[in-house]
Amino acid sequence: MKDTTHHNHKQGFAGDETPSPAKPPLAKRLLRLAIAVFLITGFIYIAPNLERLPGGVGETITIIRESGIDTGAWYYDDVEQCFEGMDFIREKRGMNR
Amino acid sequence: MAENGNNDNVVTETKVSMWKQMGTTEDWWAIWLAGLLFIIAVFCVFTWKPPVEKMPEYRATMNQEMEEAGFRTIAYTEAESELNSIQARREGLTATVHGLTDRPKGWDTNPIRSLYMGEEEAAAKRAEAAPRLEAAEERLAEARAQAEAAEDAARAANFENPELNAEARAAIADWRQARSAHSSARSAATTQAYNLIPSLIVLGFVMMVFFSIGVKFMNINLRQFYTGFPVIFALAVLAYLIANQATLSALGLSYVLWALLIGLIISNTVGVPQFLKSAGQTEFFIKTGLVLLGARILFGQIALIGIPGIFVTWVVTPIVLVTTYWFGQNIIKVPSKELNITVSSDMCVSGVSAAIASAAASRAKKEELTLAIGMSMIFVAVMIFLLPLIANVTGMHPVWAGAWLGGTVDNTGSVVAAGELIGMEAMYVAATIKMIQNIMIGVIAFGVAAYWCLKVEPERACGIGEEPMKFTAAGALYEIWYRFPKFILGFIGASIIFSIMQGAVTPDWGNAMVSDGILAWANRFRGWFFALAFVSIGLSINYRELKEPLRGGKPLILYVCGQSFNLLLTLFVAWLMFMVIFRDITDQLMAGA
Repeated sequence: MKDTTHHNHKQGFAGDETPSPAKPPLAKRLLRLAIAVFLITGFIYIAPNLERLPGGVGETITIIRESGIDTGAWYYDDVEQCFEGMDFIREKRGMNR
Repeated sequence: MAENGNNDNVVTETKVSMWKQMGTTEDWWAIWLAGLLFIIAVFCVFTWKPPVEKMPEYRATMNQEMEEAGFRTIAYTEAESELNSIQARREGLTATVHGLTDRPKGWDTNPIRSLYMGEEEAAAKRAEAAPRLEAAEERLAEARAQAEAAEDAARAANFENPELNAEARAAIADWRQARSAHSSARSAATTQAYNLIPSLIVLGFVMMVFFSIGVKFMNINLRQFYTGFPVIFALAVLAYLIANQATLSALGLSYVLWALLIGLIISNTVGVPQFLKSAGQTEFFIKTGLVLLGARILFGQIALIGIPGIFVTWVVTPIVLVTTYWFGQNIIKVPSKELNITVSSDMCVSGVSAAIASAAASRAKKEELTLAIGMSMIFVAVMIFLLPLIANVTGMHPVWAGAWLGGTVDNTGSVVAAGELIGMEAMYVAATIKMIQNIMIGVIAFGVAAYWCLKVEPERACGIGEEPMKFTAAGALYEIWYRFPKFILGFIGASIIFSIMQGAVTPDWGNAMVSDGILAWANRFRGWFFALAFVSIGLSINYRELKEPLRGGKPLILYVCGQSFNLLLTLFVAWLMFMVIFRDITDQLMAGA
């Protein structure tokens, strides 16, 4: 088989499909979907109860939630406290003057 | 150039001219579209300009007050507040577009609150918050009177009496706290009804049209793209909605994880129809998001904490990265170099953002990126609790602890949350260290792309048992240029342009016009593009494909060993820098605490 392409390396994120085996019947697939949706919904439903966990864990979650910090943000410009931190450092180091 | 010795599976490379690539590949279209977004943002920000001419006056007041008193006085605080309220994103069309890109809001028990709140409920909330506002107003007036009295006494002594200064500082800190409580009570007491659904529909449509420009030129079936995109966008909204549940958000379970999970569930249960696959242009979304991310890599911020900050981030991090990658290749022998570099970058640079950049630069498989991000999120959720606990129990100095957290915890939001559990100074130092480390993503992405072009790709291109292709001096540059992932140029280019722009103006002007103007748009759109990308990744992965890179638990061993080394080395270097060699900087940061 000869493949003509302008990339000779392996394909990235989107292009490495592997042939999938025969699909199970629709009813079975829908059942699997329903179970997955049920599990995720259940997890989200019980999530607030994680704040009742013993050993200081629940208390810590509550402190973080009440602080309003976006803990899931993964880059600094999504986190307000980073800009406050910059101001704090600049001020303490006399960089604003 | 034909480079695969296996006779039945020869991959022949036909060179495509650069001009053609510029019009037909997602790398270039990511640059064009991100560039278009920046141009529109610059136009709006300069057309609907905030009152930047007032800023020097506020800054002069702040400087004068600081010069006289040596601490934040009442006039300083008020001028600072006025200064910070000058933001281009609050003006004209800039504000409209910024509002359009709103993400679903936070919620506790009712997910509908994330998208909709009726007038009746808003009125009930306002009524409920009214007594709190009243109490906050009283408290504010009282704190203000005390702060004024204490400041006047200190001023009367020309701020030369340490006792009066300390009293004034404490009273003003109390007033500032009362201001903050009042502000929060006021926003609760002025709750407005909202309905994000229409604006989300418009946003989805705008993004569909935006990406369809590139899709058309990239020869992707436009009709299928138009059919599938709304579904992918709806799933991205769902990912944001779940991530904004208050407790899940506190645990750091970000929209990225939910987007992947939602996509994975669909693709592994009911399956993904062709039109959805056509719309799920993972690389296109991710690369456009990365070019926008580049604009936030501002090199001028590197020196914020001086040499100790640079050591903890720009010296320790590369050492850990190279050591972990070497360990993965030579000791535990991770089967895929791309998986190795993606996990290593994710673990030691800055979590999700570094993983995305490294995976895109090395052309890692989507399941490799998924695995790296999944592991990172699980470990981060543990580290948020464990590291502050260690710091508090052992009585670590807040600056040292902050530097340790900033250098090791993967995602910025989690770093700040962990810092909050130690104290304000620790939180601010941690946030700033992480931000300086974030800037390294540009260098890492460029380095990984260059290494893959020079070393990994030529090795892969040669036949089995053959020596890797040797570049001639004349051909080398051309080959590197040809193979180099071009979107990295947009990524680095955006970083350089915005770093120069930010460096050429005053910090206040830069904040008002660039950070809180042009880049505020880039930030919002970037988040949506990545949400689309991660839904698309989930939709294209079969869970069996996830098992392959996990075989033997090697990525897990890599992550645990690399992170342990990172924790120990950062702990030592942060101590050496902040507690021994540059103790003066630590004392500066703690002054008045």
